[in-house]
Amino acid sequence: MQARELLSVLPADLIKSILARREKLAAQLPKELELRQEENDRAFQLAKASREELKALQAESSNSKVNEEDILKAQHTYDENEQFRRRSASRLQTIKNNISDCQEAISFWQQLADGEWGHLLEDAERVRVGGASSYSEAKRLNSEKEERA
Amino acid sequence: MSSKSSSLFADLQQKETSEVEAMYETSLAQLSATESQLLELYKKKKIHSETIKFAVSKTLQAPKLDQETQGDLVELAIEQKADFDACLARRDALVERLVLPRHRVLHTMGDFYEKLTAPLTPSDSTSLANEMEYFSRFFELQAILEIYTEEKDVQSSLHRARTNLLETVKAVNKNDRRLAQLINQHRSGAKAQRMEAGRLKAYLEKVNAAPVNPVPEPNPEVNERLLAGEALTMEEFASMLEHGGLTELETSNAPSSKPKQRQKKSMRTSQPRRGQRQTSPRKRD
Repeated sequence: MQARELLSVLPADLIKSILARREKLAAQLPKELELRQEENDRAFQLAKASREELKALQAESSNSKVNEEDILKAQHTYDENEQFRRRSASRLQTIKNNISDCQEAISFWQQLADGEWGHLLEDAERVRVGGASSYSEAKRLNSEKEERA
Repeated sequence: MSSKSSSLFADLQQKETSEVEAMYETSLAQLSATESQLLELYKKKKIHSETIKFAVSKTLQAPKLDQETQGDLVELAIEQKADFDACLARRDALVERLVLPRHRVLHTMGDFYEKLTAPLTPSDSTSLANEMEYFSRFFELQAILEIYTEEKDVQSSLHRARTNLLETVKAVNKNDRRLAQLINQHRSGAKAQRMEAGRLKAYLEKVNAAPVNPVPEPNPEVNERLLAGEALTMEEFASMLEHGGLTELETSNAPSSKPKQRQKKSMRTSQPRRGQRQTSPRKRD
């Protein structure tokens, strides 16, 4: 974007853009949650089945009728399925978090859309009235810290 | 030595002493004038050199100007340096306050705008905290960019002041070199004038202190005799002691071609004296 375009952006316009993006995402998330839920259920079933199979083989191994290779194979299958279950659970949790975060963000930006954005523009206001930028403040704090160290 | 000194003063020997004395006085006056000019040139050169050092910030002390240098290029350079320093201080204050250069402000603003408005995917969402941070920074950068636009003249006036100062310093430097050349010329002139004055002074001293009988020209006859291994007579030897050279005994009292300035009596006796040889009476008998 060019300097003129960037300078013409108003807080209300930007909030509208952010809200639109959030609402679009919020509309996609329930479907995504459904998909992740299904995936997680499937992963849970697979992990459960492979764990039971492995336990059964280990119980039979005392009779020495079971080949050790079969036990190792069952262990490997169980590990893979368990890993998939953990991953799908994590993905499901991420979607749940996103839904929660998205709801929170939408309500936050909706509040601000009424003109309550003042606290977010404190740095900008300070610079406008002749104060130092937050970059300058950070630089000063860093140099003070270095001097003390 | 006699021939050398005669060639050194060859042009003066034809002149009257009073004329040579006048020449000496003129030469001294010229030398004095040249040396005073040289002193002025040294002063000017020093001020020029100090001005250049001050203009390029090698020294913080501005040169002290006298009445002669006021209104000169040097004064202009000092004024322009003050103007440049003021512009530089204004620019530095702005940079210290804002820290980020304009091009970086633009780039970072674009980056934040993209992060706030680019479509999100369900798996790659951004947090509300990040959005708040980007929003706040975006408008701070917008304020910085507005200031840069308003203060556009800070950079341009600094550039203008620097260009003006450099041009003037170039001219002062040119003058400085010209002064160095003038100093060299004056020094050479002063050297020549000092030498001439010294020559005239030496001639006058020589003339004033000249003996009654000048050193005679070498006598070829006596030279031949000496080369043949013959001895000098006592009279010839006495003449040498008295005149500093051999002269024909009968013409030793001939009048000199040069004007006699001072009669100086010789302390030496002209005749060698030898007493009767002391021998024992028995041997005399």
